[in-house]
Amino acid sequence: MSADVGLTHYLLLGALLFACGATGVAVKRNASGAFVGVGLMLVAAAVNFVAFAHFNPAFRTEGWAFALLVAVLGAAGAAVGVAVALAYARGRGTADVDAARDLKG
Amino acid sequence: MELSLAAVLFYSLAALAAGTAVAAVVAEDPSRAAAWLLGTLAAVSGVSFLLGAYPAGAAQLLAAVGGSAALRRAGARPAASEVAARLRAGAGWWAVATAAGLLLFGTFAVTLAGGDATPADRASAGDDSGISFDAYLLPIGLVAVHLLVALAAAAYLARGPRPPQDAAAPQPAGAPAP
Repeated sequence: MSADVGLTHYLLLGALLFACGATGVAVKRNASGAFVGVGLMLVAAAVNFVAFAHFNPAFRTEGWAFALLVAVLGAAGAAVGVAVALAYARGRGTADVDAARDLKG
Repeated sequence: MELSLAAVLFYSLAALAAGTAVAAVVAEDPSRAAAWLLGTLAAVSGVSFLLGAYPAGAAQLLAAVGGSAALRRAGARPAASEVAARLRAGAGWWAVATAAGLLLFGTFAVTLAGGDATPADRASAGDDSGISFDAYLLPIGLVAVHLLVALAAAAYLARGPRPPQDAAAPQPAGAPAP
């Protein structure tokens, strides 16, 4: 009996990572903790892109390129988001996302 | 049931990624969660290498190190010494981290040395089935500029508080002390 790793295995890994990230975003009250969840969701997307690129040769270039873009955009987003959270926490004395009600509509 | 080397590496990396992802969500300390996220990103980088996506894996590894360092720095605001004290690892954690690092570098070694041919090898061998990013040079360039602007904005936003004007202004000679 062979136990080759197929596309389904990678998609399951991506789904697990995305679920962890979504849970972190929903549960975490600290802004930095929420950004960790966002990072997990972006990583899950990158796993899916790379897996599809590997198992579907017609999608190889696009999959690699989109995985690159996801990695770079995730780093940029995390940097700006954490900087905004840091500036907010410095001014208000807390990084609790529930306390940020200034822009509440 | 036979497990190939690639399958063993995949299951090991997947277990590392899943375990560190769950730990990142469960951890209450933001700096500790960011450290766990670094493990997830490193494991996913190994998965990318395992699938032959070398540029994506390398970019993920670089972005993981930089982003996690920024997260860890911002997650613990009070003082750098306090952060270091909270993140101090015992012998068990060192063993786990060493095993994870060896797994990651083992994946790199297997995929680069004994696995699929690298794009450079294919090009030198006259194989035109390699990957060409010619159609994506403009988007990748735009994203690079975007990353540069974002990092500059992040550095501006995260700058420290300005010193008070009275302390910064030079005192004239002979002025009476307050």
